[in-house]
Amino acid sequence: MNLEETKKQVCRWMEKLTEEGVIQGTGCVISCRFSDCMIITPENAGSGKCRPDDMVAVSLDDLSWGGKTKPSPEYILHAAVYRKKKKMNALVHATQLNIMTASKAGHEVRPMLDDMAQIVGASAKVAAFTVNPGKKEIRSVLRGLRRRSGVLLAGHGALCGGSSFDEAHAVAQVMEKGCKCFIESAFLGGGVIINAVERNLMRFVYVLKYSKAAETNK
Amino acid sequence: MDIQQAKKTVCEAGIKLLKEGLVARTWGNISVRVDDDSFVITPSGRNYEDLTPDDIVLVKIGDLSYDSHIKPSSEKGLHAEVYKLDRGIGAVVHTHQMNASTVAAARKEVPAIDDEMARLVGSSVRVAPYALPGTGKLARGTAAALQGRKAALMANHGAVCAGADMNEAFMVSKKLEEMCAAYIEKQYMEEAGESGTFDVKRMHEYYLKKYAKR
Repeated sequence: MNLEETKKQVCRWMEKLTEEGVIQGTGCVISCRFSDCMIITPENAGSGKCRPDDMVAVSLDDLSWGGKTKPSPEYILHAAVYRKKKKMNALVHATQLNIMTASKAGHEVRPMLDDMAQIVGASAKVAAFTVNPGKKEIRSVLRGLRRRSGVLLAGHGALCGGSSFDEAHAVAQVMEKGCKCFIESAFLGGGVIINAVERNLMRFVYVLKYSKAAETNK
Repeated sequence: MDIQQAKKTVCEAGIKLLKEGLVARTWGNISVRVDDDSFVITPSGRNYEDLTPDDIVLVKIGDLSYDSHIKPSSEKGLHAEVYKLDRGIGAVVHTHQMNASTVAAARKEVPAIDDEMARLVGSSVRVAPYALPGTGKLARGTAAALQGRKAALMANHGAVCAGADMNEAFMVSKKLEEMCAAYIEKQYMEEAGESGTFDVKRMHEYYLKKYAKR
């Protein structure tokens, strides 16, 4: 896929995720890896129609970008994730209702559902976050993403990643469900958290085998 | 039922459940009984939108054997145990639907909330004990919870719904989601001590007030 096609792809995903409510408002931030750069949404994305030309290519080496359009202020954070996590090729800053509530509550969300353990990981930790993330926030987010595909961003939703936009989207969907379950089960006397051995085993089997079945089981 | 017709029914049900938000992506699985000894089921790990009748796998109820290069769902054992319960069961859907999953995580038996539910689903919906996905323990425990009912919750996992045919299994699944949503809302209003209509935003504000870290 060349640069133009990749920018179009980011636009298509931005529209799809906005329509579904995974991202919303003018703080929509999604990005994907492209060679030794990343393509990221511009500052204040979501305020108008998405145009491929507005997407910004940022170098992962020196964080430089060309053109007049500024990238989202989160570009430093996204670049740090791509540098650290080589298998992550797409990132979505998800802001659905239950994810937002959990991130505001500041609770680490441990899995009460099998699919959360498989697709997100052993838990969704809460990382420090501001709208202009600095070194402290970046370190915190990278810690939260260790052996996990998503992390809650204190007060601001969650950063969900995957080997493709489709996978990052799946992480956002399952994290929203996991957060809903965590919150609403509190009104039912509390949910039961899956024990550590079982959740690690399920994650291992999912990453190694099940996540590839859509391609291999034909 | 004719095998080709059964496979077509499974594909169509996948799209219908997807549109209703009762399944998503590759999650959950769907089957239809062909005869006393076999059923057809969705394949493992495939998206519902991409399925054609040729992707649906015929599985023996007795020994779970199948004659296809495509692997059937890893929950085939669960479906077989459900078909063994009653020869009148013609279709089974296993979903990860949102509200049923929440109640399943809290492991609460849901009482019938109205006559329609009692008629369609049963006097209550029990919760099967927790076991790892795809295991015999999960299949047997779920079948036991489904005895005499049309739906059961699976602890920390989701739900299974059965019917004489796919239409009934679909209706049960939809009704189950409604009743689990009503059950959660009722419990919230009792705890929050509010008598007004349910409002998700208010629920979230209450949660933040009561449970957020200080």
